[in-house]
Amino acid sequence: MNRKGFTLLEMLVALTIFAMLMAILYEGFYSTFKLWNKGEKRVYQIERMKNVFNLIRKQIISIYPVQPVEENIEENLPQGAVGVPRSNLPPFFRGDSQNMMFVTMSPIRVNSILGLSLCVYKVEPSEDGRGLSLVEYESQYTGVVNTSGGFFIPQTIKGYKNVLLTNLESLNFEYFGKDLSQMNIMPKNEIRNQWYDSWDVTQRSNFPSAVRINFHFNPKVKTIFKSGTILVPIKSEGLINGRIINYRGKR
Amino acid sequence: MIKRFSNNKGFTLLEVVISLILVGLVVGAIFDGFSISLRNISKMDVYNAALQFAQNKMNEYLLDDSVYTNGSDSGSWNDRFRWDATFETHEIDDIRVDKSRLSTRLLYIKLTVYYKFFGKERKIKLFTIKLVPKPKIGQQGYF
Repeated sequence: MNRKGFTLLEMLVALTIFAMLMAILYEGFYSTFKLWNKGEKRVYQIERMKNVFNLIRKQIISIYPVQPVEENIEENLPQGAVGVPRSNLPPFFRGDSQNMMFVTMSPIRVNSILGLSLCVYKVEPSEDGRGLSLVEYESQYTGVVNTSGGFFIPQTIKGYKNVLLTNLESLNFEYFGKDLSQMNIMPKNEIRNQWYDSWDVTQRSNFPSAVRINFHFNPKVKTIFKSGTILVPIKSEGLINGRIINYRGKR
Repeated sequence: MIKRFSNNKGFTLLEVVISLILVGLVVGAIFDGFSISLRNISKMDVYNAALQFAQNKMNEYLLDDSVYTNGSDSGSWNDRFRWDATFETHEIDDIRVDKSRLSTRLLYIKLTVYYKFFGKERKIKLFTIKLVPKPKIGQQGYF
């Protein structure tokens, strides 16, 4: 029977080989794990981006042309008047290159907001200080908007904040439609659809028929569609034209 | 018992080779599965981008008033994504209405977006119908 055991040399050689094997295995597993995480993150990013684009499309497609009530209209009503006061304001839509405000039929917080919702899209610096983000504020539409201008939801109404996109380098809105305020310069059928940097219904005497969003993400966002445009038509346009004519006629 | 443990013969070369091949196969299968899943992520990314391009292009055609007769259009966004579109006009086929009195007809828009993925070209097809005005006789675009 061999009772000699291992020599020191044998032990050393065996341990070295074992250590090398372990190191190689660990390296392999570690890098696999890291890549796995990276892949998962990328899937999350792509999925999130896709869903957010779909949400934006849905909200802009279902922009609804309501005529808001003037803020101080109750004071001007005759005593004892009942029912909803009739408004002489144009259907509401307001937008510039960094902000957009509208009334839509599809809120993001479907459970908290019923029916029409007042939405504000804003490009703001990110909370973590890295780049820009696209933020949506929404609240129940009460019939009153800030007619004086600006992009905010009145503080008296409960609002919700949703961060749609982060890690942006730049983002701007563009508006497509016919500027009917040119009607006193040229005949109506010669006015062409055009892209504008800003849109106010009172200025253009018309509703836009599409919105385009141009965006650039940070280079660290690892998706292919990281700079480009989303073009969304406003589908309730047909409804609007009638109302706009009414609105102009009344004046 | 003692005799069995004091077997000094070790493995034969054949045994070692077979076991190494087995280990290699298993490890290879694991890594291959992993690389396929990474590839699928990229595929999803490219497909998603192509779909966004396609949706935008389709919306552009729907908004464009100058797109209302037979024709075609093509172009590319970059070296990876390109599109091809055909427009076909069709009369509204309804026995209840007199076709000659209608001032509108249908425009079939067929859009194909091609995208490259690992050297292969794949495509997405979109199709929609738009109501367009009929050009008057003598006007350009009358067929």
